[in-house]
Amino acid sequence: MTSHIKKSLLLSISYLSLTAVIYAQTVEQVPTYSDTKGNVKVNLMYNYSMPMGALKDDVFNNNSPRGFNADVLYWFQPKWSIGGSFGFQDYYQKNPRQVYKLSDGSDISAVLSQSMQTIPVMVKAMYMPGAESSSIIKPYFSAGAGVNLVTFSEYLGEFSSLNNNAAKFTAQAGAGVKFALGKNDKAGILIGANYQYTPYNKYDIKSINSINLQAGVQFRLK
Amino acid sequence: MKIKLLAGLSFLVLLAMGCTKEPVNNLNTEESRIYITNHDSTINFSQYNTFTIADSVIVIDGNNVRSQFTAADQAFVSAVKTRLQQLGYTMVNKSQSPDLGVSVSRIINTSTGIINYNDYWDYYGGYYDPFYWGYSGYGYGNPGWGFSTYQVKEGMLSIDILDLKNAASNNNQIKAIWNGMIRGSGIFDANTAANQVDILFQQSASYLKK
Repeated sequence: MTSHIKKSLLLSISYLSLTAVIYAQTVEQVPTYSDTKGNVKVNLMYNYSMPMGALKDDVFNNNSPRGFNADVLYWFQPKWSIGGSFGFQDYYQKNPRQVYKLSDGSDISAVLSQSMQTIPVMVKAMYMPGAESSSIIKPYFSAGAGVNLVTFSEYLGEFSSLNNNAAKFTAQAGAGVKFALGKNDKAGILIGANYQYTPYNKYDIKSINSINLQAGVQFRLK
Repeated sequence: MKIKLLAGLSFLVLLAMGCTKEPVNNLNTEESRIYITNHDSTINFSQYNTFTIADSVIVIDGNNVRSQFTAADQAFVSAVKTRLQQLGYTMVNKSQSPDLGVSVSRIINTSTGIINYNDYWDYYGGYYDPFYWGYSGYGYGNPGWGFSTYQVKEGMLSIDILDLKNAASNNNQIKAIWNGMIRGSGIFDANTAANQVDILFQQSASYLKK
């Protein structure tokens, strides 16, 4: 992604945050109280991923600004919801040219490129202690578990040297705040972070763990 | 509402596809290339002092084998001469019984799209009669190493160092004792030939240097 697009994304997030804060400060006592029970809400989030542990040490030193997450949650209790979640993240790194020894005894000088795409598909629960309050700012906590569909590929120069697809267990825990918009809590802006844990155990990569910063919108379907 | 949800999800899928960084598309011409070297690990290169180099380049194009000497070919041959001399070898004429024979070959896209060193060696033996090196009646000994196969996209360049000194004791066979291959985009460029040859010899200097 070009720096221009990165700047645009960061500006968009800043704008969303600023909008929410100004709204919270200027609109007093908006009647945001609603009985959330029975609602179905969608969260659409931009995801900025920071690799951790083995993923960062052994493969991707760079953070990934290319990702998103989408949740569809049913509020079965006023403060509790459960539903499905899926996301996408693209990691990429280009390593400077160096000489590698191959198993057949040859030496190969190449620029090594590594690419990974993760698609976590999870069951997710969200707890919002102030869901019924009239407050504009409502903290939330979330947790999920499911399968992470992982594609990992390596290239020596322009030649593919490795390509693997795997489905791995994954779990996630996160927290954030919702800035409520409109009457009856119909929509909101979400800003938060989560930790994603995925054991991998392939090609000396033990795990694909990351801290993710998120910003996006929530709107009510039903 | 369902339409709104589907539209949102479709947008995200399209966003994901657009956001993926394709590794090959993020390489420049130089970065696309790989440089592979292999050698006979039983050979002590200090026993060789002199070399000669073929005065043209073999072109293996599908099933056709011919020789050429373009500006890029000249640049590659010149760079190989210079590099070997820097490593301590002396260039002599074929008539002066050189210890080593050196040749440069170009392999253009094959019909199968896959090539390995053993296939290449068969073509090679079909072009350079051992008589060329002054060894009439001899054959070529397959060096025995087989590179992993790579898909050919743009062609490749191969440099071979042949053991002429020990051909008689090798059952009358001329054996390749070192090979360097360059694969990737924009190889056949006179302006970058010297740099490409340097990379090949730098990664072999530890055992080639006298």
